[in-house]
Amino acid sequence: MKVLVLNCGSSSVKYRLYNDDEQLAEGLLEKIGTGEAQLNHTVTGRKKEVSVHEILEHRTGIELILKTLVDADKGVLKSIDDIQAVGHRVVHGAEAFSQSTLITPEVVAKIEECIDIAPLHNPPNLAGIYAISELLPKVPQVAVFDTAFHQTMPERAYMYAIPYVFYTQYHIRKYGFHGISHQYVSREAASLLGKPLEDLRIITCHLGNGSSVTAVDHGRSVDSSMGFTPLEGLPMGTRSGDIDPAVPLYIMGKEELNLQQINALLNKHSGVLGISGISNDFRTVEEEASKGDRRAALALEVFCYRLKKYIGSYIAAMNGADAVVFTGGVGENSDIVREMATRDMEFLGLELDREKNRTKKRGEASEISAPSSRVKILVVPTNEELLIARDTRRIVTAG
Amino acid sequence: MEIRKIAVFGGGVMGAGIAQDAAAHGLEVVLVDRVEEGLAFARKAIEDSLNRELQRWGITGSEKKIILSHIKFTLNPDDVGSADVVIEAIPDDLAAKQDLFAQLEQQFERVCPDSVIYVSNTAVLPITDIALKMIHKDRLVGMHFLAPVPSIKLVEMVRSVHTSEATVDRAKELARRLDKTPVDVLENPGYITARLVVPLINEAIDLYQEGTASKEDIDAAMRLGFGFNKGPFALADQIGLDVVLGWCDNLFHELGGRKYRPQAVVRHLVRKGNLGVKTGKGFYDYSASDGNGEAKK
Repeated sequence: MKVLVLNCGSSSVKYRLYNDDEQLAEGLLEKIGTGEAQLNHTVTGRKKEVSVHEILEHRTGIELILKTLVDADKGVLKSIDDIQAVGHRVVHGAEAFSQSTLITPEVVAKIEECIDIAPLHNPPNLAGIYAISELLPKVPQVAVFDTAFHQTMPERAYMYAIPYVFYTQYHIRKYGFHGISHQYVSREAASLLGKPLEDLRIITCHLGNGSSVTAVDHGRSVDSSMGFTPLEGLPMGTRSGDIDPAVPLYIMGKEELNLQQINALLNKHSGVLGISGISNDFRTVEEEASKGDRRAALALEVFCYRLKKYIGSYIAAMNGADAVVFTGGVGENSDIVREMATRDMEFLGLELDREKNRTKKRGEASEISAPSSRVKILVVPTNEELLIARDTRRIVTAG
Repeated sequence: MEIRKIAVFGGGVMGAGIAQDAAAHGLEVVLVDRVEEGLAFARKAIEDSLNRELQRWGITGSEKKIILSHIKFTLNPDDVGSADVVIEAIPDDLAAKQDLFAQLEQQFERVCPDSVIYVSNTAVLPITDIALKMIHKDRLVGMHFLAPVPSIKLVEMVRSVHTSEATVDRAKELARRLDKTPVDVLENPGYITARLVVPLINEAIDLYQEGTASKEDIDAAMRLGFGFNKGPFALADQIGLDVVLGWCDNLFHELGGRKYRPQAVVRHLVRKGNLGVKTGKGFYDYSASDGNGEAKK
């Protein structure tokens, strides 16, 4: 079955076309809303094609992507009718969605309701859904949510200790994000370990510019480090992560900052960038740290120390763990972060094989723990689009 | 059709503020001024304002670049091409505004969609009079923005006797796009804001001059006593004393009444070039401040 996967951001559309699990094409349309939107389109096994277009909205952008997919030169499809289903990544499904769902007008209405708590992300996701409804009205669409996997969290994990009325009135609770990735890599990890996911306790660490850790207990997310928004949890490229909530209030008072300014301070000026003062890119920060920059080194230490504490706390939450999995741009590629985060954890059963960790091949799933390690340490490349394609296929076929 | 592109004529404080705010909300902006100095002033005003916001953590360096990249500065009105909204922010001179809109209408008639609307940012002049030489008088509406435009969440929507509902709706769409609340007013002099604030400032000056209280204490009393964001003197400095003087002159001329009469002290400060926050000195001295409009204490 040919499935198109769309991930629509505020000014971009990422897409992948699958035939079952085989990837036929992928691409990224950037700078939507301008006269110079750039389309990077790659047919599997061929060279990347770059072209510039005037694309003022998602609908015309998606129209361009569909045209490109059936183009005589650049395309891979004979006809647009070959697309049998479209899967959308949707960031926030709140409490309305605990799994991927066939898109109906009722589902769209519920996703629209979630705009209130995901004002930046859900509108572009919806723009993609509206566009496909218009351009391919007969093709079934599936929404795959970033929050859905975490809906299995128990109340004690998601409830904040503030007056209960804020939960009932504004739905303020921990939701967790990166759910598609955590779900995908936990399944992959189980298959790498050769055991059913339902028999395993896995801690998945999705580390990138945004980072989160999830406790996957017998296949179910029981806790995750991101919260009501993606600001909670680990420090990230530019986000503060966990912080004493009194700190922003204190800074607001001292510096007379308004809501927008404190929000930007915590989301865009903090994290690894905030501490290092150099970059939000871990590669740059690692490089500067290796050259002796003290604050770059401190940023890395803070990040890895907090990560280590999350791993430890999720071992406590699940009364043990069978595997710790690293994924995401940083998790897959930074041996330094993996080493620092798992150092001195023999008591909890983690022993890294430093050599395996250092020589691990890019893009491959592999085990990097020592043979004696009670908890396996794995690196598993994530592939959110593939999970979206699989869920879409499953739901459309069953429907 | 969604509003994507606006043209702003006049690179003064208001024109620059409107251009910056629109660009920060993702709109494409062409800012036109008649003289190079006007453009240079606008560019500097926008850069300074973005730098302050950067220092206050409100935006990032790359966001600043993106905002600036959305604004085209030009001396040539033909560079605008098409636009969804054409805004005038030149000085409050009736004849100049009448001519400008007659000219703009001719220029844009051919290149813009039928949904194009024309906006005057006047604070005092009747929109009906400004529309005098226009063919499609129904397409002109007043949008009175207040300075500093990016941080003030209000626009007074001013109708002329000709303004159509469609034009008002379109202008309100722009206001909401800029995260501002539109309030409807008739084109009576001073609308709501200038009409109420002029007597307040005038009365505050009287209080001060008769020795009842110091400027600082008058401002503190209004801030703390009535929850004003700024007291009348700091407010006058923020609005710009030249602007306040213009409002007084106009209201006094149009409505009469001592409460609107321009105060000699304001006229004197304006003559000296002490216009308030924007020149670093007004009722208060801002030369050592962080540029955020907080006076030296």
